[in-house]
Amino acid sequence: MAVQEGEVILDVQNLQTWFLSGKHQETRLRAVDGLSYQVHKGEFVAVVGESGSGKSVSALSVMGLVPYPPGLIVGGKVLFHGKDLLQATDEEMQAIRGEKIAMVFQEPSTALNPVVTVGKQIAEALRIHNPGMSKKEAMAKAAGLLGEVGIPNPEVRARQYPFELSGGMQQRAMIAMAVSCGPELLVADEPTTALDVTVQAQVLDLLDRLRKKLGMAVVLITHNLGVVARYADSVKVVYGGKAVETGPTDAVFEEPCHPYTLGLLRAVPRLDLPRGYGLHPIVGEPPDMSKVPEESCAFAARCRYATDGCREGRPPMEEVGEGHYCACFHKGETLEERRALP
Amino acid sequence: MKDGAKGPGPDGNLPLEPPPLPGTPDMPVHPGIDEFVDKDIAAREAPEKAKGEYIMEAEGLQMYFPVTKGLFKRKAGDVKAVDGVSFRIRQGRTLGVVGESGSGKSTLGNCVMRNLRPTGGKVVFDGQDVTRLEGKALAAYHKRVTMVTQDPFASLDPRMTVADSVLEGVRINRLADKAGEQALAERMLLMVGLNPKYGSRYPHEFSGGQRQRVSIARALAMGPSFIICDEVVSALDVSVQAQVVGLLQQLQQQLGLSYIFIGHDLSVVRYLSHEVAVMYLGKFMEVAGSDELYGHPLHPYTQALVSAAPIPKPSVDRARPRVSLEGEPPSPIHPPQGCRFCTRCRYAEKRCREEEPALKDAGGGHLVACHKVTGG
Repeated sequence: MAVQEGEVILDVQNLQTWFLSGKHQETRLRAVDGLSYQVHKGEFVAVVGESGSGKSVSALSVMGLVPYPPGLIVGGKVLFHGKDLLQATDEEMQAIRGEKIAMVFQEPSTALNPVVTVGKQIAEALRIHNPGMSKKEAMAKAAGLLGEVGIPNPEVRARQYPFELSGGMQQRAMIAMAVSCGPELLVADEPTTALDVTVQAQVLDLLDRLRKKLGMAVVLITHNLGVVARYADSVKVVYGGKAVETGPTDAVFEEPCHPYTLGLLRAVPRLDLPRGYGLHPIVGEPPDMSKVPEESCAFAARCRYATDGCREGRPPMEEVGEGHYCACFHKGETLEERRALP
Repeated sequence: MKDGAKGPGPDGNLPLEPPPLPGTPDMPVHPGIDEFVDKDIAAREAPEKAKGEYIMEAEGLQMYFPVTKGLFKRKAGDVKAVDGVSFRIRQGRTLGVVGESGSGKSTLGNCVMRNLRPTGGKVVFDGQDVTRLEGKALAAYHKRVTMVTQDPFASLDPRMTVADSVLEGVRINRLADKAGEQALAERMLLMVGLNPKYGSRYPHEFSGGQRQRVSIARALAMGPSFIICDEVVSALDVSVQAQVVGLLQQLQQQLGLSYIFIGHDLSVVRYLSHEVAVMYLGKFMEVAGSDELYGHPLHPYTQALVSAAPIPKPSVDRARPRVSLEGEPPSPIHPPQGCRFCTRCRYAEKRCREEEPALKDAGGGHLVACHKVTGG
C-alpha cells in the first residue's frame, strides 16, 4: 500500500502518560513515554505491542479516559483536527467522545450494562448526541444498527439483555453503539481478543466494511501480528510506551528494521511454513516502565544488538524508507536477521 | 548458573534481571539437562516404553453433563460436551486438539486427566483401563499423567511459595524425603529455565510467563510420562509464548514425554503437535498429521479455521484463499441433526442434515467426518 495521503485527523505528539504511586508519588510508571503518531482520514491504523507496552493507555489518553489519580498525562499533544484534546474541557470532550471519536473495548461482556437491554443502550447513546430524537425513533434506529452489524433478528435482539447474546454478538452490538453517531475515528482496543478465530475474522471484516462505508478512520490496538498484516494500512509497533517502528503495513512486515519488530515476527509460528520451522522467542520479559531509565532504549535489556550507547541515550525516529520510520541505533545491523525471515 | 555470569552470552545477549534462561533456540539451552534426566526423572519413571508404542488410547469417549429443570431437578437433557471421541497417542508424541470455545476440548482434557469421570467410552493408559479408577489407583495414575492449565494466575496458590507448589504432589505421594525435596524443587525450577533460588518466592513476584514455567515444573515434579496442556500459552504475550512453546518441545525431546496439547491458536497447536484433531461440538471432525492437516484441510470447518487465522506477512496472507464462516457454533444441548456442522457449512445438502457422517480414512491416515469428502 502506498503512503497515506489526505487529511491528518488525529495527530498524537510526544504523548506521555504516567501512573504515580507510592507514599510520595515517587514511583512513576511511564506507561506512555513519548508516543507520536498520525491517523489520516479513513485510514486503518494498527497499534501493535505486548501487554504493558502502553498501547491501551495511549488509547485511553486520546479519549480523555485515563483515571486520575493515579494516571496523569504529563506531556504531549493530542490534536484532533488541529484542536488539542488534552486542553479541552469536560463538556467539550463529552461532545467529541462518541460523536467524533468512538471506542470499542476489549471485553464486550464487561463494557455493556448487564441490566439494560442492548437496544436501549444504543438508543441512549443516540439520544445523548441527538437531543431531538424521540425514544421510539432511537429504538428503531438502534435495531437498524444491530441489523447493519450483522445480527440476525435485530428487532428481537434489541429487546434482549447482554447475557442473552454470545460474545461475538455482544462485540457486534458494541460496534453498533460505537458507530451509531457516525464517528470520524473509531478506536478499537483489542476488540477480538476474547473471541474465537472464526468470529474474530467476522468482527474484523465487519469493522473494515463499516470503515469503508462510513469513511471513518480506525485505530486498532492489538497484539496479533496476523490481524495487522491482513487489515491495516499502516502499523505502529510500540514498546515501552513509545513507537519503535512505524510505516505502511507492507514496508514494516516485509522490511522490518527494529530488532523488536524482527523479534516479534520471528516469535510467532506461521501456518504457511513447514512445521519444523524454528521459533525464536525474544529473551526476557516485557520491561517494568518504572525501572527503565528515562534516557535509554526500553528494548535494550532484551536486544541482541544493544550496546552501551543504547542504555545511555534514546534512539531518535529516523526515516528508513518512504513513510517508514525506525528508532534504533543499530538498525543498520539488523539486515542479516531480516534476510533470515521467511 | 551459567546465565548469572557477567558479560554477554554466547549470542551477544546480556544477562537480564531475572537472568535470561534457556528454552530458547537463541540461548544456550538447558545447560546440563541430560544430567538431571539420567539421575532423577528417568529413574522414577515407569519402565521405559519403546518409542512408538501407544501410551494413551481413548475409545468412544463421552462426557455428558445433565441439564436439570424445575424444583425437583428433573433431567431436561444433556450437554454433550464430548460425544464419542477416539484417539491414540504414541509415546513421545503430541496430539493437538483445536476448536472454538464450547467445542469440548477442555472437557476432553479433563476426562483424560480423570478430573472428570467420563459418562461413556474408555481411556486406556499404558495398557491399563483408567476410566473408572478411584482412590489410590487414581492417585497413582495422577503421578504419571499430569496437567498444566491455562491461567497461570489462577492455578498457583498465592499463599504457597513456588517450591511448595512444585513439591505439593511429591509430598502427598511421599516421593522424596525432606533432604531430597529441596534439591528436587531446585532441579525442577532449573529445568524449566528459572533461577533455582526463586523457590522461596511467592507467585505474585513472577510474571505470567514465569508462572507458567512454575506450573510446568509442578507438572514435571512427579516424573510423569504424559502431560495434558490445556491452553497453556493462550494467556501469554507473543514473545513469551514462544519461550514456553520452546520449553515444552525441549522437555518432550529430553524426557520422552507425550502431550495432549489443547489450544485455539492453530499455528501454535500445529507447531507442537505431531497429529492434530479438529473438534467441533464434542466430536472430532478431522484428524491428520500436523503438516497434512494444514496443508490439505479436507473438512469445510477445518478449511474455514485455517483460512480465518491470518498470516503475519501481507503478501502471503493476501494470496491465500479466504473461506469465511457465518454465524456461531450452535448450542451443545441441541446439536443439529445429521452433521453437526451442517448449519454453518456452505456445502451442506439434504443428506448432511439427515445422516451424521462417520470419521473415515480419506487416505494415508487422514481422518475426516464429511459426506462430501469420503462420499460413500
